[in-house]
Amino acid sequence: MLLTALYVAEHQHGYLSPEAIERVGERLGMSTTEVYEAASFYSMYKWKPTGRYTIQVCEGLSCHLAGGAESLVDYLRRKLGVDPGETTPDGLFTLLTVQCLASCGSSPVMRINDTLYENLTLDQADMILDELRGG
Amino acid sequence: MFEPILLKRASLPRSESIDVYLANGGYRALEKALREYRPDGLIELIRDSKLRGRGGAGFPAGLKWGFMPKEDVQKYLCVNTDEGEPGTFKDRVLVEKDPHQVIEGATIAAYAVGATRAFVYIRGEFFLGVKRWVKAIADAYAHGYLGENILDSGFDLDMTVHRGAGAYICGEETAMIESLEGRRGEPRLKPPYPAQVGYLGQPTLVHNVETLANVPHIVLNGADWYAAIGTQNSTGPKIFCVSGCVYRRGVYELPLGTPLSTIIYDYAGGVPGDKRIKAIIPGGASTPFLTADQIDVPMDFESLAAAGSALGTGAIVVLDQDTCMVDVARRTARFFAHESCGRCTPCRVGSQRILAILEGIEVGRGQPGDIERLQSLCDGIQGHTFCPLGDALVAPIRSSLAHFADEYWDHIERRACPFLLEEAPLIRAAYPVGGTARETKEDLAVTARKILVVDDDPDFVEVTRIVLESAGYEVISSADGGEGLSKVRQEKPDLVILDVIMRTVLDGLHVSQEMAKDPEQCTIPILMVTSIANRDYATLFLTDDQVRFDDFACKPIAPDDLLRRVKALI
Repeated sequence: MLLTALYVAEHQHGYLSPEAIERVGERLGMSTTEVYEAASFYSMYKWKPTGRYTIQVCEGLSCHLAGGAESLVDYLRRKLGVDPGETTPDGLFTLLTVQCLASCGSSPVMRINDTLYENLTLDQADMILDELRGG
Repeated sequence: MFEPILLKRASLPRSESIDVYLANGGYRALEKALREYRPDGLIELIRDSKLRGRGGAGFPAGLKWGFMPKEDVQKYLCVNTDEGEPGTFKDRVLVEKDPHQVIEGATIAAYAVGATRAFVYIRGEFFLGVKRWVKAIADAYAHGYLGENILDSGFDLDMTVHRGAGAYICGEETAMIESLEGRRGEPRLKPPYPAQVGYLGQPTLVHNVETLANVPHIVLNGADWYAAIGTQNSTGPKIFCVSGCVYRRGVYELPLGTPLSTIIYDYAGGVPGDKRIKAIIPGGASTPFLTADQIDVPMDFESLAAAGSALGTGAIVVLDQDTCMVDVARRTARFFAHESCGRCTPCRVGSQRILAILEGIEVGRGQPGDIERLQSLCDGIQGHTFCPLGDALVAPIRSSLAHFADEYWDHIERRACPFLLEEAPLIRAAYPVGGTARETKEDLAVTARKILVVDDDPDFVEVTRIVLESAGYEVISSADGGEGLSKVRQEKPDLVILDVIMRTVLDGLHVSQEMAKDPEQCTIPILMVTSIANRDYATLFLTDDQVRFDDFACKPIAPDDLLRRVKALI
């Protein structure tokens, strides 16, 4: 229940703001501390505002062996001008590195919001970002 | 060619839909189970099939079902879709391609153990998987395969999807239950096991997706049919996930016990560029490395345990000759340091310190003593943490240090990663690594080398003789330290295997000391063995500079391990 409520709150507020946490606590009959305690355990929640598109690049072993995980991160870092964990000044993209996305058979992979992109090349990554920028 | 069972429908168009499932034999097993079996009969059936859990531990499913109390209390079923072990992507395929197969298996399992509520705990990152689960469950309700009075049997089952939020440890069953209850996903102490005290304190059966996917097939075709697939104690088909340095990465469903080499070469197409294999991760990031000479190991629970590793999730990652093993260890450590929940100090601090050392070695800031520091950190973590995550980190790191210490040394001595240097990255291979398509054990064996075994335990001498002679070595032996010493003089062996403590006047320590004094004998490599010590014991000898040895092993020594050590020394 709690995890689902947190997802809903995150969706409504954009991220888990102090107000969002308080609201979840009220609805579930939990104290704010209890909600924080549990929520802070999980890595998928956003604790600060993020860009419109959150890019998660896998830096796991299989993606690395597929010849590109790290270079994909480096490439996006240069292209977007931000380090992992940061958001572009126009508020469009947040760059993150993640561990395994369970797509080792089609690595290297990245996820942008709800969409998984597999067997990526740098050119494809370019096209995807350009498309999102335009759209 | 093995006819797929679990992935039979996966290649069909719209394989995830209930129409395709029903048109291809779907839900017939559930009808059969509800009409022809009493719950006890199903438990017996699964027990006879010898189905074992596919999530990593390989626990017999029938036993697990049998542990659920028979009393009429509220019971729960958890479908573990929290696939997170790096290298593993089988559950995702099953859920995205054929979710009804899992629902059918889960419903049969719930009926057998008397659970009326089922939760699907799915990794937060699996967006498509969540969608497929939700749709499949809705369709199953609409067709009467879930809900009240399923197929007029009087059996009710409700199923809901619960999304995780990015925590690897929630794949551990008690952590998953904590998370379901809305808390931090920290594991509980076992016992009590979830079958006694699970979700909300009630008996709970937790199963991996792949395990449940097997159930309908066992119900339809019988336990004998199922048990005939695979090996004696590792029955049935297994979905192997192959990634890393191979031509055709992907999932391959094959009987348990299929040789690793068959999977890598016949199915995954071998290694690009005909490069040699250096090492293989056989069962996901937490399983110890196999070396190239172990490539013919049958992929089943027992054989991999005997080879010093584990089947785990069946996630095979192939590492070729150009892969830097320090880098591999570093990436593995990054994962576990990231996933350490922070509850136990050895894991929380230890994983970070291991990672820091490995990052240092990889970028050329390694120090002499780093390897010992890593060993000692591993000692501090292993067996000292609340849940298996600590051990899961230690296993690959230890195995990396044991097999590839030379690469660590090269990094430290050259103050850089040799694989990133312009010059030929020549690692002083501890033993011949890998092979092109079909290198056999015979090719790897070094013939006509003479090994002297000095030990007063005739069983050890006999076993060692069989192992070494079958690998092409010449073996001579002595049960007495004094006699052993004269044989060293007369026979000039290429290697001496010495038992530390013997009931004779001169023991292994004496022999080593005597050999150190002789200019001809002091260069002969020595493998010390003992049955009464642990690894720490070795450090006691190190303080006495008269006692010389090149390697140290505790009995019993697995044949593969012995051969590896011997090859490394001569």
